[in-house]
Amino acid sequence: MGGSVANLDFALIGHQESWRAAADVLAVLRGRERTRLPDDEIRDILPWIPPRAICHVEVGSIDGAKARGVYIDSFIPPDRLEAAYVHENIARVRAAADCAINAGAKIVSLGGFSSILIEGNFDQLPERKDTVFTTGNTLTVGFIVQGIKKMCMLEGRDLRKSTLLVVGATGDVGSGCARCLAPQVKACCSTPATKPDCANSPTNCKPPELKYRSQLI
Amino acid sequence: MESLINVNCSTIECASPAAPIWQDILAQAMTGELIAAMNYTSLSEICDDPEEVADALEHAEIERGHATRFAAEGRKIGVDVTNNVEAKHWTRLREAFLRCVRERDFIACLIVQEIMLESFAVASYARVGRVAPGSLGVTFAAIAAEEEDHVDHAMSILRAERALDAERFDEKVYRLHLEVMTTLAKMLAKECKDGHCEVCHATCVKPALFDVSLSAAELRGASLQQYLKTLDMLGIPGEVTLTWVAQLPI
Repeated sequence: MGGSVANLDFALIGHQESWRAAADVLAVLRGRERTRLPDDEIRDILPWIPPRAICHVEVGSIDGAKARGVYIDSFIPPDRLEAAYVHENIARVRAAADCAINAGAKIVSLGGFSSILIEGNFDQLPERKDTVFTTGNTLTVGFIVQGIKKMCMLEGRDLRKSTLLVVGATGDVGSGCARCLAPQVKACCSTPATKPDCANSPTNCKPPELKYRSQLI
Repeated sequence: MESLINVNCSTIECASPAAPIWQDILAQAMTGELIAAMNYTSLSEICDDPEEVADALEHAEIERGHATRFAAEGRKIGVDVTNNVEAKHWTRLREAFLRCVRERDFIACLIVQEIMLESFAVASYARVGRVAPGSLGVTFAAIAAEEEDHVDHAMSILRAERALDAERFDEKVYRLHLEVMTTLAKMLAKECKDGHCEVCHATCVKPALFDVSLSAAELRGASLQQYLKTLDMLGIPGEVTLTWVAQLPI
């Protein structure tokens, strides 16, 4: 994306999840007076579009605070989300991240597949200057951790003397919670949400066994 | 002043089934190079600075050299590479450039030649260079790299111009985009809906590009990508240029 916009509060990086959604975006860009592009043309053209901002966003809260941002589309084709395209897609997300950094965004949220690509691998992102990157999962983890701390306070429990059990610890949110809270609790137990064979026979699923526990010394 | 372009090519019997396809690809490339040579020659006529005049004439000579190299590659594979600088699309592109010359608008000339036409050349030559056999591929790749190199100097002039008045500059680029890129988009369309391009020696080469691992869609996509990236480097906002490109005729 060319040009830099000063004082951007945030940027959202995403991609279209279907060719229909991509067609709708291009239709808006073409304007009502022009016919919609045929599907085959969209499939031919979209993969060539370099990541760039599509639109500016301004949001306001009920107490009057405002935030200005941009939505940056990485133009990952909807039918190229498999492992075979991982390098190409990481390059697209990097380019989109570059757009966000050059636009001066203070915080950038990676949405959709871009968060899956980069989660836990923030070293894949370009040099970030003052820009912070996050994902929807990160926000969820943040809310959960905050909620647990508040609940402990309300219940009069000391986190440092408590044992934490994370069910679903192999997932993005669960593992994030475990990483955040493990240093703050007495002991942390983690387990996957389901046993692996439940994928094929969900009706026979049993509660997961406790896999391990770690104890802070 | 138009110069008479005459590149002599001897006719040799075609050697391979793909030769006629390469013949048409070379014909487009050669025509483009000769148009570029004509454009730089015309540009030299509105330059005030003797160094700029020399620079423009040197560029013209380089482009003529590219045309000669393409013709030579044609001979190696046994084809006679013709050119037609008066073909309908190339004529419109040349006329757009000459309007800028008549207005003595040096910046507009650079935008048309260095941003729009060169994006097309750099991108399409690079794609051809990856798949063309032997020295044909090497030549296309080398000329693509050479074209990309001499855009850098123009880019610094144009960035400096934009820094003076971005809004006015962007309006100029948009006006030229409507004129030039609309024509390029028709040339790059998957099918030639406006009739024969007047460069291909027989029927349209586009359906046959698959036989040499190319496609009109790929060449169009690569050219539009290069164009968008070049506009990004100028500093024009990406959401603006995306709208420009999305509104081109397909």
